[in-house]
Amino acid sequence: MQCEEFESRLNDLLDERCPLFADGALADTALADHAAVCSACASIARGYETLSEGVSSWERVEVSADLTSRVITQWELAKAQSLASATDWDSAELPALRPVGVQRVVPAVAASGGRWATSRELALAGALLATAAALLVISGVGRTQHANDATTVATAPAVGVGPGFVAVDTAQESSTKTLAAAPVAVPVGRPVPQFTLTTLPIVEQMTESYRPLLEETDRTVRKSLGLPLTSDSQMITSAAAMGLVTQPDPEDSESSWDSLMPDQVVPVTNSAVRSVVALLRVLPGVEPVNQ
Amino acid sequence: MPAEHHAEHDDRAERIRAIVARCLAGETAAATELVDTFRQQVFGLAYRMLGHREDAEDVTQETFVRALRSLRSWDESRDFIPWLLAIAGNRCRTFLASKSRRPRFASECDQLPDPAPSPAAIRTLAEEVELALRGIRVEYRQAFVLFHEQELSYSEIAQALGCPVGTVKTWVHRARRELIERLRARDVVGEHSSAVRRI
Repeated sequence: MQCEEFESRLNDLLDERCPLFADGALADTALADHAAVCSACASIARGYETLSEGVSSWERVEVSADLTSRVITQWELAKAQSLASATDWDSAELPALRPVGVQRVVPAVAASGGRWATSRELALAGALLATAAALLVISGVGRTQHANDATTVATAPAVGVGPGFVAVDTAQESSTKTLAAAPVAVPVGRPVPQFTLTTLPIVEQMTESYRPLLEETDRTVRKSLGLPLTSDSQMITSAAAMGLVTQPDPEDSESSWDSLMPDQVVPVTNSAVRSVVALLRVLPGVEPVNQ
Repeated sequence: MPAEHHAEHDDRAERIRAIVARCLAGETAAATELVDTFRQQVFGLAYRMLGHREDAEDVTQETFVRALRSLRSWDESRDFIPWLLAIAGNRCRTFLASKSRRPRFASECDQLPDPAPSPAAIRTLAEEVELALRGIRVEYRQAFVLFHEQELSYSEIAQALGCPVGTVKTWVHRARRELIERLRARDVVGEHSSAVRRI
């Protein structure tokens, strides 16, 4: 055997899943004979032996027990979104909402007077609508009404602004959701893809222009839900209001991206999702998904 | 492949097709069964690719959600596992690419310890190989793990990676060579090895 054949033969044996060594020596006679007289090839064989030993001693790392439930929860959310987008909104029976507390949501966005709104106006409108949505969801899941809760639905974002949200996802990779420093305005009246309460890792939403809006929404929802206000790694907010209008990943062959699918998010509850989608119907000036 | 292995393979393929059909009908129990069946395999790949448990779990979760959403695009005449691992591999590569360009906050880094051992703290040969694995090209790493740890055939790996079998073989061979060079650079080869010294 020549030296140039030695490593090739080692690879062939490994490709065939044959043991390289037996009883402490190279199992293949030709390899063993050559290694006995060639220190360079013997050294190569030692490398392969070390590598094989290392791989065979890898310990199995168990995945968390709750992974399946997390996947299924997210899948259920996707199904709910898909169902919502396919709903005939004119004939659909919508869950009863008992709006409370939304008087705190003041439509601070003035009428723009044109077909386009500025990105900040749209962002603010989104945040306000998110807050309103959160509060309505809370009422929808049967929470006790506080004494100071209002009983009327606040005005929707001003006419001319509408539910146009901000497409700012400049990343091709959906899981990163890097937000652009300067949000981009979108046409007024653009349908809201979905309006979903979610939690998102704070670190992935650190665009300075958006952070105050996100934090405000997070605080409002936490306060209303009675959750601790101390921040953890997750922020409760609304995907649409944050401008998470994802763009197709051209390299992503397995996903059609036919609907908004917040990745790495955890839905608050499926009933919350349904209630928020229903919000699109009850707030004046807000258009459902499929119109 | 022996006849009994063919039969076993066919039975398994038929079982997977049945589960997928139920998933497509929206049956949650079927989706649960599908995830339970393959989650360890997907996680195993992600863990070796990323070297970080939490990241691997995130990618595993994302892989299954995407797979469940894309089940209609799976060609029933082909093996399911390479299709699933292709999604997992894509997610891993995308994760690594995005991680490399994502700004990290110092406070975040301080709060999230990386469970992967530092080079100085490595004590076992298995850890040395894991460290070496993190240093080689992603496609070499994926091909190596799929062959040596997941024990997929070259044909299955080629399906998962979307490239010819010959390319996969080249990647696996180069992975072995580079890993050995890295182990040698850390004076690992010979230290742990015993067999060849007795030749």
